[in-house]
Amino acid sequence: MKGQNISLRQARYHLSIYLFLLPCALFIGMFAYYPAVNGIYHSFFQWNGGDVDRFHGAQSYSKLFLADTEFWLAFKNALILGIANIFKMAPSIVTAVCLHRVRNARLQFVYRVAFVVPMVIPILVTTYLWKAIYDPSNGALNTILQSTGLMKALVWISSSAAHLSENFDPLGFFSWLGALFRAGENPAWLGTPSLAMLALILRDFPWVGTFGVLVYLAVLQSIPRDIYEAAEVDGAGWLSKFRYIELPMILRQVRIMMILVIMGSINDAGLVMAMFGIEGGPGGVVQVPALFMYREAFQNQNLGYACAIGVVMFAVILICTKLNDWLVKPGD
Amino acid sequence: MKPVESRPTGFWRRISERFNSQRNANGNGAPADDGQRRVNRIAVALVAGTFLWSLSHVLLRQRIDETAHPVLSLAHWQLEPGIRTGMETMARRYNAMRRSRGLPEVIFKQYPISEKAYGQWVTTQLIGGTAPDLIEMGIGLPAATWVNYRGRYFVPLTQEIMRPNPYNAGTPLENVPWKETFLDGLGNPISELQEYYDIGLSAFGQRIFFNQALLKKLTAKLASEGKIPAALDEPPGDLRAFLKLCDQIMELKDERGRNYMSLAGSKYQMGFMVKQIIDPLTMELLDKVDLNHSADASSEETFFAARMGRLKFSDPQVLRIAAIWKEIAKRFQPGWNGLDRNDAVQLFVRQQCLFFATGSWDASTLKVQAESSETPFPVGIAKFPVISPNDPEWGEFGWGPTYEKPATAFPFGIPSQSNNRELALDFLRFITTRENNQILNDEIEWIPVIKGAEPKPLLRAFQPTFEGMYRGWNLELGSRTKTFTDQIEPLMEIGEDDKGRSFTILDWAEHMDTEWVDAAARDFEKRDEDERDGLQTKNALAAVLRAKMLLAAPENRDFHTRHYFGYASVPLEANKNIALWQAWLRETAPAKKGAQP
Amino acid sequence: MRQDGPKVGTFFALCLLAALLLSGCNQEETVHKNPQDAIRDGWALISISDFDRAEIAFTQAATSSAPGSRDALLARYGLANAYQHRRPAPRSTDALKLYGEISHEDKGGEIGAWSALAVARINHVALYAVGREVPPGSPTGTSALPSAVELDVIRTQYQRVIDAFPGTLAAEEAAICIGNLLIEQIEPTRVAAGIKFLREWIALNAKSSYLNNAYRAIAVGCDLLKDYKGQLAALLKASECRIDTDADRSSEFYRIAYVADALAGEPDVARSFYQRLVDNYPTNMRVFLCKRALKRLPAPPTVLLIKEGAR
Repeated sequence: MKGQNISLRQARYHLSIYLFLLPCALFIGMFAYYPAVNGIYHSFFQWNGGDVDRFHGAQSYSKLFLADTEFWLAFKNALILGIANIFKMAPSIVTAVCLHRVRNARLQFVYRVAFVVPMVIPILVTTYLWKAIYDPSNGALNTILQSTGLMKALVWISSSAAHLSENFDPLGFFSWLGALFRAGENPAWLGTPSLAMLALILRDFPWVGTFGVLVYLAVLQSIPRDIYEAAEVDGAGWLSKFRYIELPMILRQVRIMMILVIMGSINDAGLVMAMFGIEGGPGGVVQVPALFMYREAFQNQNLGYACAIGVVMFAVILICTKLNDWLVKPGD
Repeated sequence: MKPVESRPTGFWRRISERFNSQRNANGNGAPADDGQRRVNRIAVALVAGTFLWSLSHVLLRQRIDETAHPVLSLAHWQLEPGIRTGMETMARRYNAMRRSRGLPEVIFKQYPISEKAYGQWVTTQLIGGTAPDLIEMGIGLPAATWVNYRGRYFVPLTQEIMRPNPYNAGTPLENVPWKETFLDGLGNPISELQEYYDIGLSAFGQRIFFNQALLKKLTAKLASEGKIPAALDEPPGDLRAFLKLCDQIMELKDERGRNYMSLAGSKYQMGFMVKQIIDPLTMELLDKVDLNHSADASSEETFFAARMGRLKFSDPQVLRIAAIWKEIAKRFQPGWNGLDRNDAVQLFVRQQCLFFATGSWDASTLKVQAESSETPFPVGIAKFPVISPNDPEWGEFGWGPTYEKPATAFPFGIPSQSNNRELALDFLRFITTRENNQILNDEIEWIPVIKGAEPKPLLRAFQPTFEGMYRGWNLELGSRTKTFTDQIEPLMEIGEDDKGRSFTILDWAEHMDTEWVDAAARDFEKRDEDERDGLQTKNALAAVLRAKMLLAAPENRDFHTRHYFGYASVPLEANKNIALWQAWLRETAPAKKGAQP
Repeated sequence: MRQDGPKVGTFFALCLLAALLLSGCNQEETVHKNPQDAIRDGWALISISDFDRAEIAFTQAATSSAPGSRDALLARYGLANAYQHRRPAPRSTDALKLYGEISHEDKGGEIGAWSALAVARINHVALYAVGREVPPGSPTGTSALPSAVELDVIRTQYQRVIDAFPGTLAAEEAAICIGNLLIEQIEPTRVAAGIKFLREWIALNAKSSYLNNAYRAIAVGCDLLKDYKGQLAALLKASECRIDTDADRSSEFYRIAYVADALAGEPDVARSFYQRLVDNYPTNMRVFLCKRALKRLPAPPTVLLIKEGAR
């Protein structure tokens, strides 16, 4: 049903709809919009959340842009995580396509349930599970790597990279790789500065995000069967069906998920804090912008400055979202 | 679909029709079927019934008739075994005393609330006017909030603690002010309020816990191999010998072929080792850092000393301290830096690690876990090892043990809204006699806080050392310096940076001499602002104390006068501190590029 | 389309019900029986930073007391304090105005004196406010300090309190403020002037409760001028004149001992205060340093031992 423009006089006949929306709007205004507007307002103040509330104009912004290099270094980490998270969307897409292609309805149902059930586990719980997995002495990851002999392979790769770095290492990549795994040592995934970012990226392997799978699957299941039949008649293979039928259908959802992923990479402080602590890991190697903002607000009691950081983060997310809209066009 | 035949009349009937009708595309209602109607009525009844019950519960709540038996309620967050039974024991003893004096017995109610919810629970109770008579203070809320709550909701106890505790009659503490019967004299008043509000019931300390059976077994093996003279019942008290033993332990393998780990480590444990072993080694730096001759190094003094060049992290003495620091870090298990306290506890309880540094608050829990583990083992407690003055390399730091401030903990305050303030205060006096405090802490397995009270044999090792070394610097001026040290110290302790390159003590010193000083300068800007904003607060507090002095009744005038003059110098001298700091900043400002000397 | 008129009525009925239920949530304002209670309550509210209610309590006290009475003055003084100390935005203009009125009405009186002192303190503290412009050429990271000219203006305000309200506690405190004001300028001639002022004041006010504060300020001044013997003498006098003798004095004893030991070259005094610290505060962290110093210090000559015994 298409929307209609009505005059104000006609609106009084539908007044109850607006009135019933009013409490909800008030709550959203009070708990979502008011804090946001308040944050923007206080970004121009020196505010400690209590008895100091002094207007000082754009000083927080100038300090952030001109003097605070730590914040922008945190964005570097967010960029690395964001790019990695975008690549980590691929398994969800593949899984959704595979689920969709299962011909047996019962089997498909079983697989679907199996993928959905982990969704009930809170993210913080899985984060602590991964902390245990990464335990250097008793963790599952090191145990599997040692028992399968993969650790030897990783050690060989590292030592080869170390040798290579002596002669050729323009970006420092080979020396970094060369320091990761050493013979006779269990890698400390969360405790070694060179491994910390890798540990954060590898978290949640195999990266089959349940939410993404469900979203893509819902769209895929709306594709009529006769399109597939027609494609088969035309001689389309597995990949062609994905490329020409399925991917264009889910591209709109992929774009939305990318936006969420970018926002998450910039906004997320809780998971990094849970895994590495408020300082952002050894040497601050996994410090992210939201963690920086959190520290300014709650450790430094510099809430006005933290509000300014929040506004800048919002602006960055907005730019990334617009870029995403421009680069990733949904299929019609 | 049948349209609605007539407009419903009556308010409740209209409500009923709303619940029961379904709308079609034109907006006309259609009646629901009987089944759905029944379900809807049940739902309405449930909601209405719950609301009415809740409303009546709040409106009709009554206090228990307290004329016959007063009720004393207390809330705390200590869910560990022993706390509740300890307080119940104290309640029984208190009632026995009251019976002997012909007074009615008191009904005690304890409210143990989990740590996570404690702050919110206390807030709700205080604001709602339903707070218990005694509340444990200090967790779940920011420190500033607790200060605010004390001022707003709790009874100041300053005058009470200056008088002797009547329950000490007939003991050596008879005429001693209640305050002075505590190991630390109850410390200082809350600085923002210049009053005391809390009475603590226990003290805490930190030690090295060890697996007695495993230590005996492993050292017996080492002794049989001729590596040490004899098996040990407790770890060596000398730091070098302790570290050597740790190395020897780490070479041994268990039944599964895994190497033993000596020190169960995490960021939390490293904090203890630094505080107990490394920080005191910096005491000799006091001469360079203590600018106001108070024998206490503040963070501002540390910053200025670094700026003035009096304190240099690349100084050979500081580098030697850092080397000892790194030696300790080497004996933690690999990857300790990425672990939490609970991970380290697991290693100790699973008998994979021999030593574990923590506080007395964990003593009873560790004992229980050790006794109930697959292979039960006895837990021993030892002091942190110290450097011997005869040590060939580190002897210059061998001045003695570490000073331990006898800090009162497990503190309780009395809300002003309590109807049993006098009773609550009386109970606190009763349980802080030497005898009762010892009995309470025996039950809880914590350390007594009253002078002369003895801890249980297991906790004797926690007897604080009142004469010893303490830190000669304070590196945390604010958030930037704290974050910087939290980030840089692990690199030095582990020995590598994020690119896998070697990160030595010299690298650490270089970063500290440059980047720490920069971070401290940024923190100092905030400190300066806080100090300036604080002038207003200090003058306000002085005005309040002055008003109390002016309005005091004659019998209290002396107390309030002493109280006022004890604080009066603070706002009067505050400007001078700001000016002095600015003078030091100008003196030590880095030279501009191109400037002629 | 069907009209929705009756539903609007239902909605408003529900709103009325909600309003009735929530109307009980308002906090009751306390009504005080007498002005003294209101004044005490007002000060308690200032101490917990509840300035709005403090103002209400003081206003109640002012309206319920007899005009010109001591209670009325105390109530208005309290109100002025609530304006002055309000955070985050102090009502300094209102405070200054009210203090001015009180000091004018209560000539020579105690409340008038404290009000006049408060005016000078407001202006003095304002010179250290955050955000004042830093003079050009100042090193990076430094913040503004008041100039000598600005502080001289404040000095005259403190002097006015001494002249207009002689014999009051406020006048004594004003004198201490002048001494501190001179010393906090750090510049040697000013510091010396501050020390001189305080010494002259002490000579004329030998029984004042502020002697400890005066001697402390002198000690700071002497330290700045590197007159360590003067500093030691002042610290010793400050220690003798201390009123709050039940406070923790360990840092005071240590400072005296250290200055005597390391700076002023008075080992006997040093020994005495190191020992006092050890005896009075056996669990204090400084005990270790004190005992080390006592071992290091030369033994006192026999003559001095007799003198100590006589004390």
